[in-house]
Amino acid sequence: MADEISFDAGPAAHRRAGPEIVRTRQSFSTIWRQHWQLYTMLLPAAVLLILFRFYPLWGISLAFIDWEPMKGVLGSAFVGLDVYRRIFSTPDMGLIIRNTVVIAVGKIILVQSAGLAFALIIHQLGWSLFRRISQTLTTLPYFLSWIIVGGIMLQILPTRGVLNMGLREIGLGPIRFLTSPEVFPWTLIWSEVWKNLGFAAVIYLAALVGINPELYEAAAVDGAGRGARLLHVTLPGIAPTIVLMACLNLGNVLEAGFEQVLVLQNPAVYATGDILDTYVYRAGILSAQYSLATAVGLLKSVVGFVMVCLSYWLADRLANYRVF
Amino acid sequence: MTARVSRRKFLGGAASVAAMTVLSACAPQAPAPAQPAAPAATKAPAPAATQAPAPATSAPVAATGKCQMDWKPTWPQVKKYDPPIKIKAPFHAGVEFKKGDDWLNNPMYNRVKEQLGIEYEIHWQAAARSADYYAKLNADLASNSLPDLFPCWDPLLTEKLISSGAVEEISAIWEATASPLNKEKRPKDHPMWAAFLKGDKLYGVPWTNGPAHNSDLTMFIRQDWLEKLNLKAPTTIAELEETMRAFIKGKLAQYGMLLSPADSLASWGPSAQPIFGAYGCMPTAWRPDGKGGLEWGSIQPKVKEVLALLNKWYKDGLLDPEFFALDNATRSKHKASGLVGVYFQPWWEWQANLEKLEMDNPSWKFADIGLPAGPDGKRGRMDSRDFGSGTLFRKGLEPAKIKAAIEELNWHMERHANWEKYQMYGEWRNGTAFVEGYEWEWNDKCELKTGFNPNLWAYMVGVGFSFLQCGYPAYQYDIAKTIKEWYKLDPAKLNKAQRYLMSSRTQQREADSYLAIWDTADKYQLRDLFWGVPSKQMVELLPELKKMETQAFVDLVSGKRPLNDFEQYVADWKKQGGDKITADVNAWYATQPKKS
Repeated sequence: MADEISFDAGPAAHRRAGPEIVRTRQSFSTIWRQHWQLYTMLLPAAVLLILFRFYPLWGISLAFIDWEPMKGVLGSAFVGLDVYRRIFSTPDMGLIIRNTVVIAVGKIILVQSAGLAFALIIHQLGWSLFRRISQTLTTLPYFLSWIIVGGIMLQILPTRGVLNMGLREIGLGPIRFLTSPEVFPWTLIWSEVWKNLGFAAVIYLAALVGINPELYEAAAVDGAGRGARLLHVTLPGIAPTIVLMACLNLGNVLEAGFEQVLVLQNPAVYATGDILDTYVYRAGILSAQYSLATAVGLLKSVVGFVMVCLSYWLADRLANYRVF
Repeated sequence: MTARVSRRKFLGGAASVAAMTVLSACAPQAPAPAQPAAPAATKAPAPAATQAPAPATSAPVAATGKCQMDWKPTWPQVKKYDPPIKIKAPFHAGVEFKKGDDWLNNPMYNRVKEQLGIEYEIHWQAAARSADYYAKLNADLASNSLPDLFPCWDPLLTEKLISSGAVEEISAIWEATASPLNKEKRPKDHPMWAAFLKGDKLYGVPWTNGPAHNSDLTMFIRQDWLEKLNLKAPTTIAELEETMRAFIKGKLAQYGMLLSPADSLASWGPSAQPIFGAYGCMPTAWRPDGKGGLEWGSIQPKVKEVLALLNKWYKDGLLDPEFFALDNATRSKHKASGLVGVYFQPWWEWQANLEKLEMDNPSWKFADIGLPAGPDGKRGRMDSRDFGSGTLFRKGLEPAKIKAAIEELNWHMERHANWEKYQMYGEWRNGTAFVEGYEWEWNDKCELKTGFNPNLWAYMVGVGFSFLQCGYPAYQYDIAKTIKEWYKLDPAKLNKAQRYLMSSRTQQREADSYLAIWDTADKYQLRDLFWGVPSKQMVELLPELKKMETQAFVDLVSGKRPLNDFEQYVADWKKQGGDKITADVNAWYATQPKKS
């Protein structure tokens, strides 16, 4: 087999897979003879991948033509970058992109931070029933669709809803969670945190479990208290995971959450709550302007791809983590 | 067996709960309420039976035990096709059938088969007007396998189908086959023909989406509150404002009026449309600009006055401060919890909501008091856009099949328009088949049982699918008028079915509301005068313009932007493409024959 994954934990081990590992290329027929069963098992998955991921890529051409259903893809006129010119000359496009990035980045930062904090806290509990229950309960909302959660939020959060009734009682006045352009992005971000907290924590928990307990004991013996152990053993121990998660999420910098925003959006908060996906829904899907919808999708994919490449490079640099 | 829950079991339980939660999110959604005829089917069925009784099938009288029908339904006599003619058509999806029925086996379909000898084949199924429907149609077009006939609700698509030669030209067959009644009910100057008649070539059979004026708004008010406060029903906007303030001061209502429009402030649904109309303007409609052309109603100066009025109401607490964020559930809650006293809705609100509310709250009483007049004494509302739809026939279809389909339409329309002659009492509201056990049942006194609402209009949608309810403008008006006549008759002369129909107060009130709307339609209508096919520019520019407009109006009403920003909005609208689409609309308008 070709390259191996090199991964190391710990502050001192910043070295690449060095010349100690000798790699040789085996001939294809040798590989096949040794591992043909494994490759055959891969075959169905490969077929599905090609059929549903690679083959549909030709649809990208929709972004560059004036697609008319009657004429089909080949018969429709080629318009080059005209669709993109149209997109970027939409009056609010700057605002829409800004909203998308702000909401998406806010979500990434807060969801990961909250997930990390939660994982650290839960990890302290040891393996008890309470921990299992709390982990399950916090992870459950992840599986609810935004239609449900959004519907619930639309009942609780309005100024005449339960939450504001309580806030009025304690004098914090009604807060317009859903209809104030200043507050709305935070509503989106914090509800996403609530929903994804448990799931984000799972990965960090897995990393935490992988830290050698002897390191903790050694630190305790050296006189390190809880805080010091956290700072000098735990965090460095999962540093690669944190960096990795941050880097992987870089590719989501334009994913602000379509379903959630669509459900919760209303005309008063377009200024801060209108994102690329809702724009595409409105101007592309609803009006059957599929070229426009494809063009924006392609744009998001290209940006995401660039960011993912950047993240791989960063992950390599900062955490010595290489997937390929 | 230990008493402790093992980890595996707990995880299994949690997973099941999670799965069930996830699956509950997949509950089917009710179709959008914008469908004129749909609300009757999709709102929670009211317990009181509101379907008009209709005659039984031509099968032997369905007498359960000793009960006998005292009316004899008959059917228009037609020549039956033998051997049967087979037609392939798409059918509606998402319908719940009764008692082992399906599309090709239910009372209505069986009757068509039996009396006309026409058999349908299901080409595929998709919800009418849905994206899925159009996707399947487009796929058929691409693979050259269109169904024999199919409905199309989108004039743009119809235009494309016609210009690409995918549909058959049928003017000769139509002239020869359509009955005089059929032709009479489709007035030649009605806009419904616009999408299908090119010069003197006819490319399909147009119909209206339900009866005319189906979404025209009227005003509903809490009659019991008026009585409690000893007020008379408001007839002008000024009086309406007084009444709303009185409701709030009398601690009866939390908000004066329910304002939660489906789309813009002037769309159907509990909107402010009649208030704009009272001032003589109509946003989101193409209105005369006073210079012989059309302009977008939202930029006309009178709109600013109405926005100022709504802003005043907003500041004074007459409107829900978050009215623009209400979703369907909250809207219903507002009505159901008695938070509001007044709102504008179409005539079918009686069956859709009010009947149930009155049943649940015996002290509540609603009244339809007609539109309020503005400072000039005018009243106005937008006309329901009910045309643009029709049935198309694929190119190359055998003329015999086209003829058969039109003959079926003749038959549907005959039994519907002349329902009294045939004693087809099921024709009120949605023209369903009226079969015992489906639409009505005997009670122990051998009268028709009230409180029975099986809601079978979907059958009609399916079998008359291609000619959706045989929609023509006077579809419901003729029937409503006839029902009103019955009230003048000697009750002893009425049969059980008629008595049943009249026993429902909801029927009565709906007929009253609908007739009132129809009778005032010409006087109050502020129609959208553009009924051409939207140009490419319009399709591209309108969505964002609409978004900008909705945002601006909401900000102006809620006071976030000062009212003088209205002029800025107009300038923005024109700059961001409004001028271009106005030019397109006027180019079309110039080609239209002008009438008063």
